[in-house]
Amino acid sequence: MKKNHEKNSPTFQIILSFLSLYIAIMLALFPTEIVNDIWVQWSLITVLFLIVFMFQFYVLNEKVKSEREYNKKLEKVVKEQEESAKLLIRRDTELTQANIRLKELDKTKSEFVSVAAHQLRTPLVGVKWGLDSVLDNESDHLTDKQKKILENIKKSNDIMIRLVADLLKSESMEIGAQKMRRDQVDVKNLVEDAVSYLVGRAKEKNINISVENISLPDIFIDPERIREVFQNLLENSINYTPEGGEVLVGFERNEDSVTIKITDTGIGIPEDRHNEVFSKFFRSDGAIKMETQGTGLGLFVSKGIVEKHNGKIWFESTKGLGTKFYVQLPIEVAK
Amino acid sequence: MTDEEKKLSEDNKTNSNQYSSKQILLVEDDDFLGELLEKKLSNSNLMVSRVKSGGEAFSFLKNNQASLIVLDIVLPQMDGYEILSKLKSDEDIKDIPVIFLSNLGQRYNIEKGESLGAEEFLVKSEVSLDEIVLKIKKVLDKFSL
Repeated sequence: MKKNHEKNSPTFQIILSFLSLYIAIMLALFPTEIVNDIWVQWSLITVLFLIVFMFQFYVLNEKVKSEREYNKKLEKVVKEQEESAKLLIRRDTELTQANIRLKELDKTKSEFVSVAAHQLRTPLVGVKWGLDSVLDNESDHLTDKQKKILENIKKSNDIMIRLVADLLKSESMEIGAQKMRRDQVDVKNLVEDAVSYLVGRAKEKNINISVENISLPDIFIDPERIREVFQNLLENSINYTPEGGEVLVGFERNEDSVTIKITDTGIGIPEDRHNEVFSKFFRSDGAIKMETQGTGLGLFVSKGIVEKHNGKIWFESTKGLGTKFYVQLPIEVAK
Repeated sequence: MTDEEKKLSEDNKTNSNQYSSKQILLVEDDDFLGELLEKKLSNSNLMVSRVKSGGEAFSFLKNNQASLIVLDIVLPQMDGYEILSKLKSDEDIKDIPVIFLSNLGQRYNIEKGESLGAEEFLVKSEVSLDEIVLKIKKVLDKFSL
């Protein structure tokens, strides 16, 4: 803090003002009749002024002292704020650097997952195409038993390929590499697309799939990803419903969302497994007994996709009585 | 196989000679997969030549015509994206349609391929040899119109 110029110091100003006042009063009182002796007059007034002056000086000095203390505190606060600001800048820089490192790590993980998937797929494709080639070109030289074995190898290989694809999707979901598009979509059409893809499989098991006829508003979603969700849920329903069963797709329109409901008359999920349903690699005991070919990743990935759309997915199920899955999607894109 | 593909397969069985003059350039560095593809395409009455890298592909195209290029992505020295970019910047060969055939199948891989001008992006593990032939014939039909 700068020192005040001597002439502007409070002390000097006080002295000057009182001196001026003193002289003015002296001149005013000089011809007074109250006290005749001029020296007594001068003494009395001087003592009076000295007392007043001392008192004022004390008051002003205290004021100056408290101002100085206040300034010191202010300086301290300013210094602390400067320190805090420096700390905030340092933290911000550290966070930015940490964020950059995390993004690089995500990118590395994403590249690793992509490369790993590629490397895993290459031999699987070799088996797939090799079997295609043998069954195409050499089927005349194969016995029925040999053809059956090769067909079974092909099915197992297809499961492996699907597992790699699901693993890749689940890893991409976890590292946030799955980006969702936002297109304006008629969700009922999307459900019907998914149903048409699976209607053949349903027919093989004599399972009837029906879709509720209802008018719905368009919603902003990634059509490819959400179709995957519907396909996964419908596939599960078909796979875990015995022959002759039913799968119903219904819809519910709320003020700000649309809910798609997929109900089946399948084997249901035991209650003690309900909280595992959306975890990785979940397969209920009933599914394994039915020898279904799921990888256990479909619901994990589906949940990830729905949640990335700010939607919700849940279910109700009773063992032996069937399952109902709900997918709720917002109508407007969250801003 | 979709209904469309079934129909195309039936049509192609009766019109097998229409593709016999079409030269397919296959860029695939994996010998086993390359041989399987070559055999399948030849058996489908398509003329096919296989190379294993971008350099070999450009050398081939200097001296030969190609009606379509089937291009892998993970290749030695130059990847499929780079090869396609160079193809598209060469006036003499930029109009040859390209189908990517790769085991990379993430959305960003597919979008990148399409943005560079590929006609189709096929993920090897998701298509059978029959489906590859159908896609090739579909693109050839599109470009012969």
